[in-house]
Amino acid sequence: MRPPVHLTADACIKCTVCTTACPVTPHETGFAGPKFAGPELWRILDEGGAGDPDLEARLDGCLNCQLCQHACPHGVPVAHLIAWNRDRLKRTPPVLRDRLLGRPDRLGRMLAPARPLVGRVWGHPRARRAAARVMGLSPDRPLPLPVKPDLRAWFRAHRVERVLPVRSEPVTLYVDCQSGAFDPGPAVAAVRLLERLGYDVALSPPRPGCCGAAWVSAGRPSRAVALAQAGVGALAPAIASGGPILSLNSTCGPTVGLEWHRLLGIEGAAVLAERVMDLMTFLARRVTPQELRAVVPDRSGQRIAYHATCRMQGQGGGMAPEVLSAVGGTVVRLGIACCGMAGAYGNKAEHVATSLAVAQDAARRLARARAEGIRTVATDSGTCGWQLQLVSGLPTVHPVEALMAETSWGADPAPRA
Amino acid sequence: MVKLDSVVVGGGLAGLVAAIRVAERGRRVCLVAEGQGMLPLFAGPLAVWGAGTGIDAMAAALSPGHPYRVLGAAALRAALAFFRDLTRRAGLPYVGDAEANGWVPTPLGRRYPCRLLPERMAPPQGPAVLVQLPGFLDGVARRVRAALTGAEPVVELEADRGSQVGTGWDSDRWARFLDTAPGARWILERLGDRLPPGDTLLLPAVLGVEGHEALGRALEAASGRQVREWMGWPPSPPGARLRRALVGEAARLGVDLRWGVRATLSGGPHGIEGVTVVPKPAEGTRGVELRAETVVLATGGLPGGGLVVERDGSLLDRTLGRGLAGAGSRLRLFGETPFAAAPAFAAGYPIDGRARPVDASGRPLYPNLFAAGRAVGGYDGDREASGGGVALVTAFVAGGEA
Ligand SMILES: Cc1cc2nc3c(=O)[nH]c(=O)nc-3n(C[C@H](O)[C@H](O)[C@H](O)COP(=O)(O)OP(=O)(O)OC[C@H]3O[C@@H](n4cnc5c(N)ncnc54)[C@H](O)[C@@H]3O)c2cc1C
Ligand code: SF4
Ligand code: SF4
Repeated sequence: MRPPVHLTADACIKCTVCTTACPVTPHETGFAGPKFAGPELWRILDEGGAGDPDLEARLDGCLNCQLCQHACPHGVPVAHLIAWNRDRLKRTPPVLRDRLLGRPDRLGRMLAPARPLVGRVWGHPRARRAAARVMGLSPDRPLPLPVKPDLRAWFRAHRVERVLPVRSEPVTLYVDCQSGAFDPGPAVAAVRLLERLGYDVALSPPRPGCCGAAWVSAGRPSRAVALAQAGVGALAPAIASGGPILSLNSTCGPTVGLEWHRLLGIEGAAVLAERVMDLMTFLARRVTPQELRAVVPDRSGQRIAYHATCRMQGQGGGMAPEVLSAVGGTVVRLGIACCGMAGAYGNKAEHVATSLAVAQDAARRLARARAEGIRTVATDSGTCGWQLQLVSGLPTVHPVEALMAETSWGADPAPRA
Repeated sequence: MVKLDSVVVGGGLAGLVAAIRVAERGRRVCLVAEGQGMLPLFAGPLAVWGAGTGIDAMAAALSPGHPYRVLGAAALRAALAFFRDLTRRAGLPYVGDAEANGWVPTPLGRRYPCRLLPERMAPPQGPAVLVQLPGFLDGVARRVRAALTGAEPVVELEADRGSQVGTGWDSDRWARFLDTAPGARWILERLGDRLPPGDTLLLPAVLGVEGHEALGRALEAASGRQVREWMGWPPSPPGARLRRALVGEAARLGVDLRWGVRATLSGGPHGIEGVTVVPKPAEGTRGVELRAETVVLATGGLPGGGLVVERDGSLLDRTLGRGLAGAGSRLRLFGETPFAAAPAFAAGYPIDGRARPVDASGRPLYPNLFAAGRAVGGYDGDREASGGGVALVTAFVAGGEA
């Protein structure tokens, strides 16, 4: 299929700023780097060039972190061009492993009943190595496994708890595959928080699905198109409600809000840009600090570290620090560019070395934070959370889980007067 | 809607310095930037005036609209002193004489004139030994010697057999390798002992970005010599270091830094009334409204993305939605011959003595709008070798007013 026409390499002046921001370039000798992999290759392919046969492999290390795109002073959609360039270079359909990882929602549903068995295999070193070899996964990495309960089942059964008066504005919580199939924790915390604040919350899409981000990251946006088309249909009631659609994940949010339209060219998706909003941004804009303080524990004298994921940095850096400090806490911004996890990338055998090399920066900063007494880390993506936890040993939560947690984040050694 | 004292649009040298200055005055300031600006390409030395004359003599000889002339010699001196303090606090001290040019060796073996330069790039003291990295794309040590005595010994480092280290690497790639633990080990092992005699080790400017202070010190300890760097081509680690230092300092002072967002300004009879920011890939959507008493436009002219060239060769400021006087045609805009002066790169707003953009009659466009860096016109940073100095003094004045 043909990529949407608004993607253009024409604004590129070849200044190389994008390449200086790429976290993969320093660690992978063969990696083409964003300037070549994006605008330059776009022009070559547009003019009918084919590139050499091993070109696809030279683009395969891309994390889709989009830091190149954020860095470009000229608004070139570098990462979007790279995603489509990779797609255009692919000659073979995806292998079984990639077909599974391309649909994390399905994978979660498949794994849920088999959880004890999979857990047992992965817990056994020899069996794990054998299984990892067959699957093309890294044997050294913990396998993400679905956590109970199922979010939608919980939601149907839960009791609404109000603290503030009911508000008329309806809100929809976008259920990404992480919340729907792997870890309902952040979504449960978000529903409880919003209901205490007086909102009527709906979950959408009503049935499990995937926004397509996994296929985009794997360099196959063409496979994300059908998912996005189905997604627009599934979100129709949320769109019709007129209220905001709140996202808990810094990749899924802009995938639905911006990329269905801009990257995938999906009809009817343009309206989502106005409607999809990160939960923390929503709280910072629409809820006063007084209202927040009325519904969540006071955090005075507590301290938490925050990692704005690579994708959150591209949306202006996220509002989590404002929200977390509005309830009295001290927020330390970690300043990590990219953790290197990139969804399933970090689990793939051929990418695990790069993933961990990119994570060195995170490991250094987290070690420093830990030495300074940090005990809890907040970040806006579950998979990034796994990576941060792996390299630091510190518990990692979504900012909304941090807000709602019963327990302390850890003491602030220097409480402000 | 978010209320602030001041909003700085642009995150290059000018925007960062202006925001730091506003924050130092105790004001609540938010910096919004679409991209990183030109700092990743900035070679490191701060060029103030290529011709080398003292500040008073230079300012007196300039045409009336030149920003140095408009803002005055005292402001430039204060700005340079401010920059020295700022960079020292941020762990990247700039040294040199505000009144006369020093120099730094270029890859072509020339001496690049500049007023302030990072300590690591200050001219070597005593006999130097040059270092050639394997497969280095951005210069040949033998050539650099021409800027010195020409007789300096060159140490050729080699990669281990079968290793990919260095193959086709530019400065940026080297610096990021040397920032890693294996990279630091690689260079420290090779430059420990067994070096020809000399007081200074001179390398290309690749000694890390994140870890440049520690690595430089470790190399001095391991080699028992002073360690210096020569200037490179873009993309340039010293620019990345400066960016890192300024971003760190801005964050420390509480500047609310927002990357990846594009701003548009809306003006009314009383001045700029609002700043709308949208995430970059969502161009055309509604975005967030910021309200501030003052706004600094530090959007970087043509190279920084603040100005774009329209089909007919006219220039458009996307942030204010205003056309700028162009050159009539694209050809003339970019110079009719390769090395002719190109009006495109000197294009920007004329300013008044408070760094406010003014119209043709000299009246401020808006009473609360200030401009800094390449967004300001009336100078040719490349030909005059004044880009860094103008960015600095305009940011210093704008940040003092906004
Ligand atoms: C390649 C190169 C190397 C140079 N090297 C040196 C050197 O070694 N020494 C020296 O003294 N001078 C050097 N200069 C000259 C001088 O330093 C630059 O002119 C100066 O850095 C410009 O800074 P600036 O902040 O004005 O612009 P820029 O660095 O270009 O920054 C512009 C900023 O504005 C943002 N922006 C633009 N429009 C919008 C919008 N609507 N909304 C949000 N953000 C927006 C951009 O994304 C960017 O963050 C160099 C210039 C270039 C081009
Ligand atoms: S894509 Fe942007 S940052 Fe990269 S070379 Fe082109 S203009 Fe420069
Ligand atoms: S998306 Fe990230 S990993 Fe891929 S080229 Fe851009 S900066 Fe590099």
